[in-house]
Amino acid sequence: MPDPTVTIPRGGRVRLRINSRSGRILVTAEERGDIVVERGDARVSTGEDGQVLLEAHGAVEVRCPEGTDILCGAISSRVEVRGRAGSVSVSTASGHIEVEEAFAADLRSISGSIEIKRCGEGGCRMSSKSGRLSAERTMKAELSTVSGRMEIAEAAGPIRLKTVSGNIEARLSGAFDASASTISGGVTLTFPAAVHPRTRFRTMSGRQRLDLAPGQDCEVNVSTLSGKLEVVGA
Amino acid sequence: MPAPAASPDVLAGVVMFTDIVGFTEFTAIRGDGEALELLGVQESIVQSCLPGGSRLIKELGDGLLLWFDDACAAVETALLLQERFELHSADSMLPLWVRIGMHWGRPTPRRGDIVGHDVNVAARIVDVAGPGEVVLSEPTVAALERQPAAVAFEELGPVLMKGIPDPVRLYRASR
Repeated sequence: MPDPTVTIPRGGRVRLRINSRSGRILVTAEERGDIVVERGDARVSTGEDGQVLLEAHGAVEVRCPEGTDILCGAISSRVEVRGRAGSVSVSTASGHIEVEEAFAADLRSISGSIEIKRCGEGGCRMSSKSGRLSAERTMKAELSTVSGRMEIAEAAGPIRLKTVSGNIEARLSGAFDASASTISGGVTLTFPAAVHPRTRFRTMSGRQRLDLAPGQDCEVNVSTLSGKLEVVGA
Repeated sequence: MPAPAASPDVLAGVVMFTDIVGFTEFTAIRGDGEALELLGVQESIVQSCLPGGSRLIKELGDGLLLWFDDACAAVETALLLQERFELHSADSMLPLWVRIGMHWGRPTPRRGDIVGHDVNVAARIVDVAGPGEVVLSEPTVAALERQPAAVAFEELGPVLMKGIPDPVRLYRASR
């Protein structure tokens, strides 16, 4: 069996690719200079440009340097990224995805829920068919679901949100452009009370509510066929 | 890397699938008449954007199967389609939320249709895309004979898809 520890060349770009069809995948990004497979049956190899490829069978636990870019493909695995990662891309069919902190994130699941605590300047993109999406703190963000609900506790950048029948709740920390669209789900966007957005509501039959004074601070577009639309002040 | 030449009984090119997100819910709320109108708008936009060397192979409910001889034309057309869909959705209450997936391969023609593993892979790729997105496989990127104008490719990583034995490296194209 190959040595499951890979020493990262000094100054090398650290990019970790993980494939595993099932079983929990746990990646911890922390202060260290190597990549270690702590648990699980995994084949590790180094590729072009210092990239590390990890093919796992079943559950696997990996430790890698802070700021590592992580690209992970799974089917039913639960994927967790702890610590401070670089750009994180994860796709699963049914597994839950949980990321503690990333510079940028692209997280996709068909039926699993997706959660990110902090996403940096690279922005956050999340997509699920039926799973719930949630971000505690993010800069720019782009989220989409079919039926899953989405929540952003604090967006410090422009957001674009789209869902067919899920509900949208997002709280923005300043005057950032926002677009939220649903077919039948409801939308609640919350801005600081001092923000005066230019708001455009589009609806066929949904209720709408704006309780911020209109202005030119930012562009807010909200639309639905039948859900309720709210743009409110905190 | 240029696409290898096709043998006489297979085609070499890009298989593209499109899918309207939320079409079922839209139909349930607005009725069959408006759903047909939405499909008509989609078809008209697609027909107006198709370049030479491409064709609409068939409709699949609210989705489409398209064929392109050239990978660059496929990427540019997909992005143009998304711009046109977005423009239309912004100006009307007909939400053309379309996701697009594509894969370069060598499908086998069959009575005006195309079949084979590469068609199945392309069909799985569209499932990974969100509304408004264009997602393509690594072989599609490798088949680009020139860099499409002002297009960025962002790697989404190795994606495992049901029924497809090996992971497929996918990219998101955007302007």
